[in-house]
Amino acid sequence: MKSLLIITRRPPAHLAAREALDLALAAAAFGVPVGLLFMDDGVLQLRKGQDATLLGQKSLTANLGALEMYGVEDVMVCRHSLAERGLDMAQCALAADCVDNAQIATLFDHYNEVVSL
Amino acid sequence: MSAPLLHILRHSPAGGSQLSSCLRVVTSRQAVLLIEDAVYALLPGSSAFGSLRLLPADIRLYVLENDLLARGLALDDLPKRVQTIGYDRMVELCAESGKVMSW
Repeated sequence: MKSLLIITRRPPAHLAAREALDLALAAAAFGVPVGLLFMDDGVLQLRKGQDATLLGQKSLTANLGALEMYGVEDVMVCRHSLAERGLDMAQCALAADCVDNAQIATLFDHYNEVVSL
Repeated sequence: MSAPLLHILRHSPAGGSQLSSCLRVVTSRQAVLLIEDAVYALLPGSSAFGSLRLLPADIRLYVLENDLLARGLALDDLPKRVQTIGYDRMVELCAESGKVMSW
């Protein structure tokens, strides 16, 4: 089975944020080894205390919580993108591995396929 | 050893973080292809152009000629290391690259 790296780079109110999570859950449900990397504005999806219902949207929180249940274990967040936005892991709603630029570069080799959303 | 990764950039460097994020994680032997509004990264004197020039020499740089000329950028202004390519070569590049990362 080929492994899949999903890079989610859009803020939470963007449709692509939900699509990236859906893709991760769907792939994991079919037994595909999945890595999920939050990068650029994608790290904003992880902030605690969000309420998407105020925008008439469904919350991402449930989907984020489902990652572990579906077996998506390699959840990573870009250290640079977090710092750029004044965030740290304590403000994130999900436990994720903080990865630096060099580690992200090796991810491209590690996974068979890469999708950026 | 799989074929090296191809990074494709298609957004204007001023409009988002795509270029800077790509440049943070691109590694040697990989290739970067500029298409659509990303060709503005080759505007001489722009800050994006400055950071592209700092890329290690073993990272290949390509630009889609039609997108470049359509936006009035001159071939003469390009650094030697930038290879201008057409649609055919772009397809080949994608096919021969192990993976493609579209920013």
